[in-house]
Amino acid sequence: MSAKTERLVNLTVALLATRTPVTFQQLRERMGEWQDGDPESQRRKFERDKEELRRLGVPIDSVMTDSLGGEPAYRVDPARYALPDVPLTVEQMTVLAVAFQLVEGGADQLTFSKVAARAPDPQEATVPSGITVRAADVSHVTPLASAIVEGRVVRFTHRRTTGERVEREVEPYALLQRRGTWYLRGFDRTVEDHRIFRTDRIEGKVLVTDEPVTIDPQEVDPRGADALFELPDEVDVTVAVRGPDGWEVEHRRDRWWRATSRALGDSPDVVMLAPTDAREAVVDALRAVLAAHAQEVVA
Amino acid sequence: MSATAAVQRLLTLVPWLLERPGAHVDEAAAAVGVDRATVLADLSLLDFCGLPGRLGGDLFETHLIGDRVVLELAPAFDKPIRPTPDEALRLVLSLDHVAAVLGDELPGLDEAVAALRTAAGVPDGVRVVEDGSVTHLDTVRDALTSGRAVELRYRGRGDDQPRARQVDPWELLLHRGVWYLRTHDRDADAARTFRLDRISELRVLDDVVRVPRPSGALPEPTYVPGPDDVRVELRIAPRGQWILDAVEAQDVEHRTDGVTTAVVATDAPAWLVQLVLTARGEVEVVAPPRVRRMVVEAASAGLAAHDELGPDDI
Repeated sequence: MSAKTERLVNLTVALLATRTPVTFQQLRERMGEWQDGDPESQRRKFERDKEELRRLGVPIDSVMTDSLGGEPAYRVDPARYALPDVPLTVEQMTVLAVAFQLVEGGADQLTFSKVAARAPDPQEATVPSGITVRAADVSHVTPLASAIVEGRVVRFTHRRTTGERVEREVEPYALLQRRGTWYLRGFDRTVEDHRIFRTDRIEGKVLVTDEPVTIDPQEVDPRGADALFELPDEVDVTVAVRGPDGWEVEHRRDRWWRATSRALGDSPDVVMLAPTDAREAVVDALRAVLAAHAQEVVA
Repeated sequence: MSATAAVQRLLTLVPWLLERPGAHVDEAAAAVGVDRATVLADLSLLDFCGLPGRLGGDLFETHLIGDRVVLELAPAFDKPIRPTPDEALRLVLSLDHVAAVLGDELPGLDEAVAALRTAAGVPDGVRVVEDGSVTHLDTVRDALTSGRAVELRYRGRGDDQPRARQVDPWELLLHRGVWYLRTHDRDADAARTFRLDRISELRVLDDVVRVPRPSGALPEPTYVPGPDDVRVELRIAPRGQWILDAVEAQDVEHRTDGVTTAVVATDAPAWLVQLVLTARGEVEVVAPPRVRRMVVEAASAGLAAHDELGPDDI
């Protein structure tokens, strides 16, 4: 195993250090690797090494060179390989380190150190005790995030709340996580309007096309997407709650929909008294529940 | 696997060490998330790595002086490898998540995450939107900090009425947008988890915590199906589909007429009945007859109560 580690590190260093792309034959001679036995299997071994490094995030470019007999040649662009220095102060690194320790299931320590490698070390700090923020899964939204970065149109099949499946072609510009669920916001070309999609209702894979988006992301304030989650105003609600000594009247401020849902869920121990339209809505809903259960179920 | 993992570590460890000449071995191990022996093995490999002689470069040289590491090496390798898009997203969003829910307590976190976001290439539009203010959160935090027990009134999924309980608080967990309090329940003398949003009253007691948090993983807040669960068959009209986001359903079938059928296994049918009532007639309990009857009875009694009691009666 250690020989392989050594070979992969050396390949990375060699490709990073070279200004002009180098071919497999050149790497072979210079590094003294991929030598023994059948040339074909050594070539395959080199291909596997290359793929493994690419998976780790080493951006190996391959170019075809006429001068080198049409053999592909390789190099790594240091600018794309390395993370630019992150301008972080000691205080910022400290607060990031504290926040990092509160997260469960987020990035691993190694990822944090990639970012922190050239930043100042955090100071000693007290981490709030007994508190854990469990990170939401990001694995299925990575293609959508890169589509936003690259400004590409995406296509996917989306299931409506009714269960109906609809093909969508979307210019994506925001991806929001709320309550463990991801929402994609974008301009839906099919209906020519802005739409929001729950990503867990996307069926199959998201296709990131080569097509660039036409809307100007600068014109759509991605933070404006917050409005989607803005809650309607609260109203004055009066309910009667069944207690040990009979009905007790309670007044509170609540959102209309939530107040009626609570009264329904706690039926028959809560009576909605005001506002009038909320009371009517609760009565109508209870009637609708009865109507839905009116027929005998045929076995 | 292990060779790949070692390469991955070295591509970060090298620039990390170059930035911190004389760093302690244990610090280096912690930075890449492995133990001391592993990081020493990684470092010993570096002595054999470096630019091949015929490219005219130098080898790496690692010096271990006591527990301190000094590294010398070829240039072009002094910057850390960029996180992959997946890693960058994980890192930035998990920190953004903390900023969204605890930002008030961690001043400067927002700006720090913003700087990280820019460097890692995660766009502004990709982020976490959560409510910062949560009832009881501050009070529970106080109890956790001071190591005190709390008394709370809570209506569990199987309870008809909220009940008062005394608990030793262990940990707050934010999972899928919901805050859970993990505790030792003194009445049940067992580990119990409570949703903060279902706690009706909560106060910190003078009494200190009696049963401390055990080491290791705590039970998951998610529902674990048991052998005595009731299997409830639902028939869901198009406008009632949201219920599938609120329960763990099995055998979900979307029919061509827009109706969906599904089965929900639960140990608390009363809780499912509540959900069905809030669906306003868009969800029907098909079976078992007992649960179907519970829905009908709750709705009939609710209508009767509204008949009995109007706004003019108070």
